[in-house]
Parts: sequence; C-alpha cells; structure tokens
Amino acid sequence: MAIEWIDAVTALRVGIVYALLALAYFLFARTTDTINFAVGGYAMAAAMLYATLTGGGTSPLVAFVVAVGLGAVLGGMTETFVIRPIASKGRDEFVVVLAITALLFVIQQLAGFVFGRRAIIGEPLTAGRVELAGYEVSFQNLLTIAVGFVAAVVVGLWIGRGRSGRMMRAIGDNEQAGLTLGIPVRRVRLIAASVGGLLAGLAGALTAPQAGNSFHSGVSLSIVGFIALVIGGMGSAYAPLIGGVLLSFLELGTSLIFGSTSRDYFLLAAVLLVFIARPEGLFSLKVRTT
Amino acid sequence: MSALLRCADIGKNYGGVTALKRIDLTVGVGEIVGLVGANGAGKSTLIDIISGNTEPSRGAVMLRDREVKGRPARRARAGISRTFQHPQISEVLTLRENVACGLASTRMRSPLHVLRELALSALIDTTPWAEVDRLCESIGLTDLDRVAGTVSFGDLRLAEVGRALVQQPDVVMLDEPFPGVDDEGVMGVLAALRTLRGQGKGVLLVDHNVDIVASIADRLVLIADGEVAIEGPVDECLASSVFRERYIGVA
Amino acid sequence: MTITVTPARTDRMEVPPRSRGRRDTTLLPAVFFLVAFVALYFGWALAESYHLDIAMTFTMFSLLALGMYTPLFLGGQIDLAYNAYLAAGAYAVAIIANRTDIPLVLAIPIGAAVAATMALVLGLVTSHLTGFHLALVTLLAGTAAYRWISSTGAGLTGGASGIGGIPRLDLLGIEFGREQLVAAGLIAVWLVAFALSRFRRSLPGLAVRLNRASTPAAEVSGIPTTSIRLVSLAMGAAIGSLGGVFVALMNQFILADSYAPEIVFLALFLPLLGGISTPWGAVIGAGLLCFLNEASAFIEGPGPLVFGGASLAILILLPGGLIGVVALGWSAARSRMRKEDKL
Repeated sequence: MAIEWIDAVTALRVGIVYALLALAYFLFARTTDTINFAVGGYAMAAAMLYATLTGGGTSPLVAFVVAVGLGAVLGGMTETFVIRPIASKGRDEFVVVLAITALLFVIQQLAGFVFGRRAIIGEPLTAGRVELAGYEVSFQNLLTIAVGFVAAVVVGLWIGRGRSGRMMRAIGDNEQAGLTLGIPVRRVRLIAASVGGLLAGLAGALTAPQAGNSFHSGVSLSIVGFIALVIGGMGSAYAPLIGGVLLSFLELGTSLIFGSTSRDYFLLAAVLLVFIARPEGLFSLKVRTT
Repeated sequence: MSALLRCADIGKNYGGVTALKRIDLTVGVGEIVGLVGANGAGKSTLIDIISGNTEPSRGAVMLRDREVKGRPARRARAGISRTFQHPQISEVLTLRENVACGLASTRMRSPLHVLRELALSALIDTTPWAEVDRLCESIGLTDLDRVAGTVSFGDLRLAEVGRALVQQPDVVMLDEPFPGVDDEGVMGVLAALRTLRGQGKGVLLVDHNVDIVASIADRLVLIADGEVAIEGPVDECLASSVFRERYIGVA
Repeated sequence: MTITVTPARTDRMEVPPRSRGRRDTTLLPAVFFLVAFVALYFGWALAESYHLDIAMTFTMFSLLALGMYTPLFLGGQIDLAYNAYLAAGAYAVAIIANRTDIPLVLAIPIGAAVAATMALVLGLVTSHLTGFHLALVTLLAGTAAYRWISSTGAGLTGGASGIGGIPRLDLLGIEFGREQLVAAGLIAVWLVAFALSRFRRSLPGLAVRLNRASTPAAEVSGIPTTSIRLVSLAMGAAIGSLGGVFVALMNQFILADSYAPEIVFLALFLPLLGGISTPWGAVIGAGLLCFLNEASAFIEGPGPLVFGGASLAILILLPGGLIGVVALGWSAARSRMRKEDKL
C-alpha cells in the first residue's frame, strides 16, 4: 500500500498533538521532577469541555479559549494541591506516582460525571476545506498543525531564551542552587505547571473536533505523550516536538504494514526498545559524564 | 600477619577527575586498620570499591587471596560487610528488623535458600531473633521495637553497625560509625570490634575522631591526594611529621 | 556460629523481658478475620443468591489487591499490568474447560504460572526502570494484553464476546457450585492475607522492604535484590491470577471487557483506603467497596470517583493509609510512654 501524502498530513497533525503532550510532560519533569501522567487527563477534560460547549451552541473560539484555560488551571492545581504538598512531607517517589495515578483516575471519573460517559465530537474551529493536489484538507487540520507547531516553538524559545525559562532550567538541574541564587522556585514551578497544563489543554481542544473523546481517553493520551517524550528525550525543549512527530509517523508506518490493531503492541515495543537502547531518549543533548 | 583483605593497585576516575590514584592496602587476620584522611580524600570511595557499590577504574580486591568481584550482595555473602557514612536503613522497619536484614548474607546465599526462606516464611518464624537481640544489646542498641524513622541519628548508625556485624563477616568496614553515637554506644561498638579481632576477623575503621580510631586500631593508613601517604603502627604514624602535615594540618 | 561479645558494661545484661525477641502480631487479625468470614458466609452470603455475587466481587478485588500488595506496597515496584494477570487466571479456566481435556482444577496452577511468567518477563525487560517509568510501561503492557484478548487473540480468547459455557469445577466428587466456590474463595483470601502478613515480617519480606528503602543497603546486607524483586513480582501476579480463576468459575463465562486496564486503578486504591501497613488493609478496602456498592450502584456510579478522590486525599495528607496512621500513632505513643518511664 502506497503512502498517500494526505496520510502524511494526518500523521503530522497527530504528531503535533503528541508533541504538545510530550512538551507538557517535559515542563513538569524539568521543574517538579515528576512524570506527570495526568497530562492526558487535562487534554481529555479540555476536549470534553470544548465538545460540550460547542455542542451547546457556544462559539468555537470561546470554547477553545475556555478549554485551554481549563488545562492551565488543572496543571497549576496539580502542582499546588498534589505535587507540592507531598514533596513538603519528604518526597517519596512511590507516593508521588500513586498520587498522580489516582489524580488521572479522578480527572477521568470527574469528566465522566460532568460531561457524560459517551464519546462526543466538537465543532471544528473553522469549517472550511481546501483542495490540495487532489485531496480535500480541512482547515481544522492545517490549523491544528500550525497552532501546535507555533505553540511548541514559542515554548521552546521561552525555555531556551526567556527569563523564567532560564530559571526553570536552573531549578531542574539543582533546586538548592536555584534557591541560593534567589530564584522564586515555587512561582517558577507554578508557572511551568500551568504552561504544561495549557499545552495539554491545547492538545485536547485541537483534537476535540477530530475524533470522539470520551472520559477514559485520558489514559491513552497520557501514554502516547509519554512515549513521545521517551523517544524524544529531555535534552532540549525541541526534543519532545521531534519525538511526537516521529512517533506519529512510526505509528502510521506500522498501521500501514501490520494493520491498525497493531498500535498498542507497537507502542509497547517502541517504548521498551528506546528504554533498552537509549534510556536518555533519541534526541538527547545531555552527555552522560559518569 | 597474613593478609585477609588486600586492595591491589586500585584507582578510580570520575570522568576526568581522579578520585583515587593508586591504593594498595591490606587488612590482616585479627587486625583493626584505621583509615584516616581529610574530607574528600577518597576513604568512602575506597570502601565503596571494596564492597562493590562502585566499580574501580583499575585494580582488584582480594579476600583471602581470592579476587572478589560482582555485585555488593555477592561480596556480602563472601564475607565483606560495611556501613554507610549516611545511614542507609528502612525508616518503616523497626530497629530489630533493620538489623535482622543482615542475616540475608548467610540465609539467602542462593536462589534455593531464598525459595526455602520464602516457603517457610508463611509457616514458621525461622529468624534467630534472640541472636539479633543479643548482638544489638552488645553494641548498646536497646528498645528494638522502635520504628527506625523515629530514632536518633546515633541509634540509626548503631542499627547499621548491627546489620553489618550480624552478617558474621570476615571483614567489616565501618564508615564513620561514631558521630552522634553516645559514649555507651561507642564503647559497645569498640568492644564488639575487639571481639572480632579476637576471632581473627579484619576491621577497616574510618572516622574523623582520630583519638577513638587510634585507641583501638593496630595500624593506621592515611590517604591523601588519592594515595596512601603513610601507613604503619599507630604510635609511629601519630608521631610522624608527614601525618601531622597531611592530615591534622589539613583538618 | 554466633557472635558473642562481652558487654562493655554489665548493667546492659538486664534487658527487660519484653524487648527480647518479638511478639507475633499476625495471629490476632487472622483470628478476627476468620471469625468475620465464617459469620459473613453462614450468616449473610448463603441467605440470598445475590449476596453470593457481592461475595464474589469482594473475593475478586481482595485477591487482586492482595496480589499488588507485595510488589507495590512492600517493594515499591509500581506494576500496573494486573488486569493481564487477572485475565491469565480467567482465560486459563475458560480455555482449559472449553478447548482441552486437561482437568479443570489444573487451570489454577496453570493460570498462576502464566501470570507469574508474564510478570517475570515484564520484570526482566523493565529491570532498570523505577517509579513513573515502570508505572507507565506496565500500564502500556496491560493495555496491550487487553488489546490481545479483546481482538488480536480472538481465535483463542473469543474476542470481545468472550467465552461461555464453562462447566462447574468437579473435584474429588464434589461439584463446586456458587456456594462452595464462595467458601473456597473466602478461604483463599484468608490464607493469602494471613500468609502475606507473616511473609511481611519474615526475612524475605524484610529484604523486599529494605530494598524499597535503599537498594545499596539491601545489597550490602547480602540480599539478592534482583531475584527478590522478580520473585515478588511473580508472586503478586500469581495471587492476582487467582481472582480471575475464581470469577471465571463463578460466572461460567468471561468477557474481555472485565479485563480492561481500568480495573487496576480501583484495585490499587483498596489497600490505600484499608491501610498499607498490613495485607488485611487490602481486604478491608475490598469490603468497603462492596459494602458501598451494596448501598447504591457504587461501582457503576460514583464509586470510582469517591474511591479515587479519597485515595488521593490519603496520599496527600496521610501517606501511611488508615491502618498505617493507627500503627504510627501507636508506635509514637509507645515510645513517648517509654521516655516518660525513663524520666
């Protein structure tokens, strides 16, 4: 089966969404030392909210802003009410992992409670289509790619060049040093967590018109975002972007070869292979010194 | 005196930094060796290498003239036990249970032993608790039902010393066992070390308190700049100008 | 050979008798739960047919949560592939009953062996992973296992529609109907919980627990940390598979959807709510779940949310779980009393 270029557009769109999730993980991991797999839950909640609002007649743009905002709020709340309180009691990674697991579960159940337990699809932001080389491509697809890409690049620049981005990296590398340098560690963490939540919300709101989201899609969103992070690594802020897009194209390739049901096995194989071969990710700039 | 433990030509580099240049060190049968040196001289690194917690860049560790290799658990079963400078124990276990973990080196020697312990665990309590209690008592650790997370730093150290001694090691290495430990505890540990000496075991003792080390050691070894700066009988060492210059002068 | 050391001071010879050795604290809860189980079985479970269904749910969740107890709560290894282990037990029963001539009772050890093997393989390939990474990879493995039983492996597993027509277990002339099965299930829960409560305090249990606190410490104590990790993972998986065996025998059919990864979350919360400082906490948690489910359609309705929320609150506020809090309070109060004694 030949790969049509339209498939590549779809894969790029999906990959950008993965990248946004991976970037959300990245922000949490760099500042709070937590692989926050509730990010899939934020994305799911944002998607459900967007779909519910647009289904109720709200303008897609307003719904989009509100949904992305929900992601940011959830991210900030996670840092404030879950990660920080546990860390202050003497951080035990085991407890943090269980708490994050419980949090993801709670977000899913809460979403099922509030938005209902059926899968829902949102209205697209823009309904138009454009014909390109024999295929119809919806504006929504192009918009998703563009918005996601811009967001990833802006956050990458912010981490690399911006003031709080620099402070963030300082905390991630050495919290004590950060404190000594007079960095407002708590505030920087809260900002990073909110931006992480915002990115996850963006991922959710962008996918809401594409596929039916239900309250239990949080787990699978969390898993793909995590794998994108693992593939990309944490070496630079652009690694998650590369990881997400690469993962999506690999997925496309395997589904063309082995059929679409092979996806879960492929994901498992991919993550195990990366962990065995290059635990630091494929695109890590970090050089191990020991 | 024949060598029980011998470190031959041990070196360790971290990236480009040299932690240990070249160390040759022996602990004889029934000998207590005091290992001293300034902070960062490499004492803990050397102990890590002997116990298998760190791989050396060069050199070998011999126990009774046979090279010991592999993971720390294997070396523990071969007869090398140690404590850590920062006590490594489980805060949710009681002191007694923490000490008893050292019994693994004799009772979990092989997968078969592990399975046997596992099968028996549900039925009968085979752990020799009385022996554990007796040992703890001898080093001044009492009230063993206390959960380790609630006890003083000194008692944590004593529990770790107990865990090292209950292994019935051929060589025991204590990495700064005394800070925070009260006088009774210090006397208890020293008495236990003398007993080990009487049984023909070897002891490698690291501590910043040169007075305590000198009071019990048969021999001192001073490490400086990743090398053995001076070694010999306690009195000779303490009297030598090199010792004062390289250690007391620095510290 | 024992170490005999002359005490530095003779007054240490007088040791208060109660600090010699250690009291056996496992018997009292075991007796309590034995009485409770007997009373519940004869006084309540046999009274109505649907009570047997509730007892089935209780048994299944108890075994699942007890399976997670050793690797997770003693060893700190967050293995979330328990839906796969549960399925191993259930599908062993269904496949052996419907597609082979093997005596049905052998489905119990075969299911346990398959589950343990899966856990071992997963444990080996994830040997260098801990914490978040282990949790996510095992969750993914559980998802893949669910995908396999619900679609890819449909030729063997019957796909989404599952396998029906499982006959009753017939052992030594006794046909295990629902009443007998529930009795056997409760006995299994009691035996496993009691055995685990003793294991927890035995040398291998202490080894698992010390390894959770500090692998270097466990290693220098002579504990074979890799083997002990794998053994605890395999042991937990085998216990979890018993839950699947039990449900398949009770219902006489299996559905793939019962083994979706979601079930792991609920089982994970039971020890947290019941208290993680004893395996009986898992049993208490399962009892709580069934009690609330009895009062309303709890598991289908607000149950998961309430349980998840309560677990999250406990993790944030009191990481020891309910019994853990009681135990810690007890220990603290006792040491305070001792100090006052000394003064």
